[in-house]
Amino acid sequence: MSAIRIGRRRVVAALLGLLVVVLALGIAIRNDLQLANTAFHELDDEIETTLTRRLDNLNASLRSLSGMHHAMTRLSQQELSAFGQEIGRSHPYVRAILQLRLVDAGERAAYEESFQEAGFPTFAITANGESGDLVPSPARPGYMALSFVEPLDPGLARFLGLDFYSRADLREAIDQAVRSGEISAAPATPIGKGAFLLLKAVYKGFFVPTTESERLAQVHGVYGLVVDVPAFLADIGGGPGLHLSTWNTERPVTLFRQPEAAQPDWVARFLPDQHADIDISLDPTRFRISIDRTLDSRALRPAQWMTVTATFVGLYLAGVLVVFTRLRATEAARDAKEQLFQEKERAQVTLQSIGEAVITTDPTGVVDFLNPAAAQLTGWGADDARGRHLNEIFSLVSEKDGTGLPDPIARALRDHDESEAAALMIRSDGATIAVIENAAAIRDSDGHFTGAALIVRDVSRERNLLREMAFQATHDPLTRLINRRQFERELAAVVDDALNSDSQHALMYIDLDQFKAINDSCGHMAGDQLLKQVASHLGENIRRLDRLARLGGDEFGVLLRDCSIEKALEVAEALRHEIKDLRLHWEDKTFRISLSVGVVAISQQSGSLDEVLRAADAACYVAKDQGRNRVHFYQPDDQMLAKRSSDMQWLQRLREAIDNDQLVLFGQSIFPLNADSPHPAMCELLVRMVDADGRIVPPMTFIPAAERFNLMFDLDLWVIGAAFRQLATLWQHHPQDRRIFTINLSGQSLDHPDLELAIQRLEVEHKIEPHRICFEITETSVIGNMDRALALMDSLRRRGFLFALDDFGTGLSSFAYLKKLPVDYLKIDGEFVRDILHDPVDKAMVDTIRRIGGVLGMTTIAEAIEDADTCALLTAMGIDYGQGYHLAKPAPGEFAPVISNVVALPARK
Amino acid sequence: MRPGIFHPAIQNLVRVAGIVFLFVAPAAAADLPKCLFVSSYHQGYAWSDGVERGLRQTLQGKCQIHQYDMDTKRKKSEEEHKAAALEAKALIESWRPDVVITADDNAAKYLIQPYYRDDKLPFVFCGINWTVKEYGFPYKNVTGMIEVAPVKAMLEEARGLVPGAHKMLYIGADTSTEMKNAARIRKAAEDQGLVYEEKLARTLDAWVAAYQAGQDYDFIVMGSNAGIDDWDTQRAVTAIMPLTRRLTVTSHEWMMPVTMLGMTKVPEEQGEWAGSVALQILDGVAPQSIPVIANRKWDLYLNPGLIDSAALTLPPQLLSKGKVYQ
Repeated sequence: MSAIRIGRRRVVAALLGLLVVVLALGIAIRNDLQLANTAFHELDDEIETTLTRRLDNLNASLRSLSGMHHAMTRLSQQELSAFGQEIGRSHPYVRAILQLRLVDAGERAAYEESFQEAGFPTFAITANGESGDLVPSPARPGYMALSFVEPLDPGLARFLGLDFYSRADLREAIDQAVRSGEISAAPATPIGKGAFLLLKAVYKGFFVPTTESERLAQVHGVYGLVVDVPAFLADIGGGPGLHLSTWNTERPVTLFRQPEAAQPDWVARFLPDQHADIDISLDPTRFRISIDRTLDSRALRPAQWMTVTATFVGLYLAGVLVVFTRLRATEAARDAKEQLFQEKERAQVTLQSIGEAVITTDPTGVVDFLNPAAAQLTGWGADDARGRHLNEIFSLVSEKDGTGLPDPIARALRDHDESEAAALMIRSDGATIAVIENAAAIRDSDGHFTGAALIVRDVSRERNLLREMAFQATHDPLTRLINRRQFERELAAVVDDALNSDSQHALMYIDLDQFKAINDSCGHMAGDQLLKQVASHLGENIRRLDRLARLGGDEFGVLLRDCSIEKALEVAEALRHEIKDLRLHWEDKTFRISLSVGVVAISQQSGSLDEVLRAADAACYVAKDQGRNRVHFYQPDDQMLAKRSSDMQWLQRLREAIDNDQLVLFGQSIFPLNADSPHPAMCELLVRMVDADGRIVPPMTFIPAAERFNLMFDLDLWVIGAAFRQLATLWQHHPQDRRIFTINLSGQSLDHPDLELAIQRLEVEHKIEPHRICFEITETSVIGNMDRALALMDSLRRRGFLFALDDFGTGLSSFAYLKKLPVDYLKIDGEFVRDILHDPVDKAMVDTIRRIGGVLGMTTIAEAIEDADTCALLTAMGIDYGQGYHLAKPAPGEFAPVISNVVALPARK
Repeated sequence: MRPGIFHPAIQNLVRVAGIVFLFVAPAAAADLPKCLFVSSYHQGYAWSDGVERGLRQTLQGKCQIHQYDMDTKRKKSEEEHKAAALEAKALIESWRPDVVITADDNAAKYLIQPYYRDDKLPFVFCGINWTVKEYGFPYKNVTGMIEVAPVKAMLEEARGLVPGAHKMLYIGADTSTEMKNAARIRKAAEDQGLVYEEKLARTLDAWVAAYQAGQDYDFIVMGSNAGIDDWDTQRAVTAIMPLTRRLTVTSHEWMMPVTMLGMTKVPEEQGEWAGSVALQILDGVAPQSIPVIANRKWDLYLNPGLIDSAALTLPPQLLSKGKVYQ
């Protein structure tokens, strides 16, 4: 609409502009014509003034001449000439001064002779002939002969003697002059063209006769002025047509007619004519000067038109500019108002919809607006709050210490109009809400303070989330105990306190026994449940001042502030007992749990934080190593810790042994118990270390260190490599040896991603027959990573390798896994075999295992056969293989001699 | 003013140079009509110089002016006058002027009258004293201005200054011109009832003697000295100063050093008229349509030294009106 409105305006403005241009041109032309008329009338006035003055001059000159004539007895031509020259110099339009002498007929001859004698030999009274030539005048009663002319030029000299009475027009004017004694006018014909005559009669005597009859009787002659009309009319404006006429009688006589100058341009046809009559009276003669002029293009001033048009157009444009500016301003104001309205609507909608509470007040803090968020936040309705002071609605206190905060409006003014602060809002109903409030001063266009706007944002959720994040950063999400980081932070403070004071503190390092087995067998949910229960019980059995933390996995820590070691050990024992009695029920299973606790005192002598932590860890390890479910107090001269320290030494030695082949393989034969058994003999390959002195180091000396320090994969790999190499040699030299050799694989190896490839590489390298190799794995090692173990077992079995489940019967719910585990042999744990002769449970267990193995197609192997009766019983029970000191001890040396020695089952005792 | 102040040889040289000028005139002037000015006298003669001045002022720039001086004032014989006329005629025939202007009587007498009566070549004369009857003017091709002196006015003025005057003496050179002037003075004097006598001199001494004789008259009319070969103005003044007791009047301005009152003709008027008429003729006006007229200008001069020496008392109006001769 606005564009259409503007478009119409432009059309109207253009039409008006065109109208203005036309109007301006019309005004300019009219102005030019008026100016021309004005100029013409001014010219009239000027002409009238000028010609009146000139006629007055002529009148005066002629009267002076007449007066001089009357005053002087004799007026010589010399004197008349001098006078005439002066008149001519004073009045350039006086072409000549004439003296006409009235000559009676009787005087004619003497008159002519006197001139001839005076040097005018051809002088005679003449008249105008029919052809205009001068001819001797015919006889008349009297002549008005030209006797003097000044200037005497050759053109005028020829008229000397001309009888002016010979011309009717002149005679009439002369008679008028003579009769009246005044000036009369007549055409100057034939004296000259473009001239007229002014005549004044002179009379005999010194005075002009007073009556006409006397004047007629006493006339002497006539003086005349030949007036050159172009000169007479000179300098009175160019171009007009002039018509000069006179009335000596009632009849006007044309003295001069000057045609108007030709108008060369066509423009004159469209311009009006100008005419004026000027009447000048020289009594009794009247003169009329008629002025005619046709305007031509010179009267028009296009440049002036342009100026006028430009001025009008400029004024018009200025007006248009003003109008458009005002319209624009009006539209802009309307748009601004609309925009303001929209802005207001938008602001109101925004204020209605935003989550921040917006409150505005007057300069004194009286509320005049609340948005819905503010109403909800403060608990006040907008109408109820309006007109109340802000302090009645809520107050703000510090989040830190609860002290009152300054008035936000005053703060906004103090902080240069805008400020932000975190605070706790205390509502009028007493509720507190964490907020961030931003106060801004509202000022008018002059900068005067007119109120304040308070924006309050409810940050309760943010605060809670922040607190939760802070909690999570320092706490274990499962047990909601502080985590290791926070624990160590607090421990560091305690250690630092102990170092700098005589205070006594204690640290417990707690490890859950068998947690891994539970976690692995029952799943992480069961493990988590266990951890939560343990944490709960631990928390309930420590002092209020003590700090319990979950340090990771199944490890807990307890920081006992200001606690003697005795008291700490007391607490530790209490915890152990509490947990020992704890039963975990998970699905249909029930587990018993125990703790291994390491305790260390924190004093000035306990060293740094790391030293304290290592000591606690070592103490815990000792407790665990001593059989678990016990508390071990760390002392610097502790024997157990010495062993622990020895483990560390063994770790180094084992590393070197692996790298330097300082290990050897021992073989312990496994014999089929039934003489008719089709099964080939077997031999379990066992690793031993050779110390620097060449002595054989038993496996229980370094295996724990290998397990604890993750060297089992390297150790197992060394065993496999050494076994394959030696077996390749054996089989090369004793192809008849058909024994199956078993190699133990630790849980760490089963979980190692490189094991399969390593076995394959060694198999290929040594050209091993896989079906003569059986890997022994423990139930626990498989359960620790069932999926990977199963995949490995499947892969190796497909290549031909055999598997035996070692120590079967001492683990957890072993039978449940038997269906899943692709094993070929079940090695019955020695715990069931040793007392089988005396413990019917053990016998039943062995028998059960035998039967299950039989069902599952597995070959059973009884370990730890240490006597003949046991061997006989087992044989009777149908156990397939037997292994133990009764049958064969592990022996070093080459496989071949050993093998050769055990090929046959030793005789039963 | 002393007429004839140039040596004849120089004057001949000027004439020859003038003839040469005819043939080497600038081409720029060739477009202008040719105006030949034939002076009866010579340059240096005051009257002739005045005429020439008026003529040249009128014709300047309007026609080519060439001047030929017949020098008949100093060449007194008839033969010399005729010879000069022939020279002028030869010049006319060779230079072929469009109009010839002549000054003073001898040119009319020896050139126009014998050779150019009613000729196609127009002539404008001036300075012919009193009348042209003796030359038979006007011809068809001749017009001009006659030189007349304000004799009547001069005599009237003298009579007014010398109450009861009835006897006058005219003194002039013994020349034909002066004889012609004397005749006019005589007539005018007799018209006014005066006893007229004249003394025409050929020498300065004779002139001084005549002047001394004039002291016995009521007033003296001083004619022209042109023709007195030994004229010396200073000597004349010196001679007459102790003698002067009577009023002297003249119509010749150049005689003012030895005259008390001058009512003098204006020679420029002659030249100006002749020039104006010549221009009319060059414009196509027939000479015969322009009447022969007489001059009418004269001026009033006073010689206070002579007036004082004579112990004359002149009217204040005259003293204030007259120009003081320097």
